Amino acid sequence: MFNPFRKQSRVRDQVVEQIPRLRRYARALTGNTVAAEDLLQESLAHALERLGQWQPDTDLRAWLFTVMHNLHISEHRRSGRQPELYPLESLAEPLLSVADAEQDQRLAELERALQQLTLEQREVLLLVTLEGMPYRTVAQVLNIAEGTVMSRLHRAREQLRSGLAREPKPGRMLRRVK
Amino acid sequence: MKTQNQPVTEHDLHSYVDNQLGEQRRREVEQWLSTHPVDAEQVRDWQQQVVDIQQLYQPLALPLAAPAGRRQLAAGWRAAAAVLLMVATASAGWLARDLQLQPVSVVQQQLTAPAQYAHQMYASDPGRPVELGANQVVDLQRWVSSRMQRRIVAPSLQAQQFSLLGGRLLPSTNRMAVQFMYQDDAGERVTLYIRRGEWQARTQLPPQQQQSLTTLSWTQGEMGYALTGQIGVTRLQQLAELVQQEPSLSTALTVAVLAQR
Repeated sequence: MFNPFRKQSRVRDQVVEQIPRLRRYARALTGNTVAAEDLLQESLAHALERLGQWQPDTDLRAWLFTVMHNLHISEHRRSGRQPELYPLESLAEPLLSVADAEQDQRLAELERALQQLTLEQREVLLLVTLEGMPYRTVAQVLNIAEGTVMSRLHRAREQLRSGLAREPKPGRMLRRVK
Repeated sequence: MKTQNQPVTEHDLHSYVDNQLGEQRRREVEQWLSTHPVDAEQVRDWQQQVVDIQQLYQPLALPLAAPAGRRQLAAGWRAAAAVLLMVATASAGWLARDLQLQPVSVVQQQLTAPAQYAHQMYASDPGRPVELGANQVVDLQRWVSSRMQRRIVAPSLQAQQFSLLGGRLLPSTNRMAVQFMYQDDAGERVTLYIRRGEWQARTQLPPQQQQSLTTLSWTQGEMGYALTGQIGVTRLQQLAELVQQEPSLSTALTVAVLAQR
């Protein structure tokens, strides 16, 4: 039977599929589970409202991440930094059932170090490492040049190294690609 | 030695870590890293960061908190979003109909994720990908079996042109796990991660993707298996069938046909 809503519901199913990733990104970005759910819900609402703007057969995931990014950015600008309503919380315990205390500790330190990166650096690092996005797609989602993606990625990674290292770590400056 | 090398740049090093290099360039960078220990260490640190970040943040099918509703949303769209979130939550934990069901998150957390983590740690380790080599396979199996309190063999994947390189034991929360590593003629590596767990039922997960890695994982009784590699789902499924056919590794599972999208 012909169902005029079938195409629509297929797209909605595809959006639903992305929810776990979007939630993860929201959590990693904001450092707080409640803030993450708020950001996720708002992003979904915006996405549904603007679904007509998404061109079928283009990268839906990238589009959804762009929506979330834009929302978070404007929120971030409005309130200066992370609003005090959402305190930073340590992720490791609630998320992981790892019985290894040392591992827990290490990951908690990592989370702290990540939340100390600038938002720009953290976004790039997360999209690359969590989502495995090609640099070109990251540039598109964040609306920056690919060169900017690379320099933020480099700074993020080196900040983490020095933030987490017990001793200072050497890193050579190499020729950059223009 | 004649090479086509252009000088290795910072961009190359990041691309190497993020698996965004073509095959040729990747080999060139690896070659270069083998003679530049400072940069090799930098790259290793970055790779470890990737692994740790992925372990810290796994996809969250289930919400960890209720939204506080601190944002102003147009009422109609908020309701629509809430519906989507409920749909996502309801379908989050459950899988194929024919197998007795088990929450995905437990298997994902205790089997699939550590298996991928271990693959990333060791599959491209130039120094010591395995602890005991294939030439010591009898010793390896005896050691593994005794530590895991269970008869474990490294299944043969020869029918798919994969040879055993060796294996290692890994701690895994309160249980030991074993990782067997195999390699084919093209140098592609896959790992088979085996762990006992508190799984009550038979479960088979759809392929889990992390960047270029795919993992197939399944449980049977108290044994869990996860096969990881960059060779694509189809080839992995063929390998999974070989693992499941290994006579000494429990009774064979019926391989469910995974829906192709």
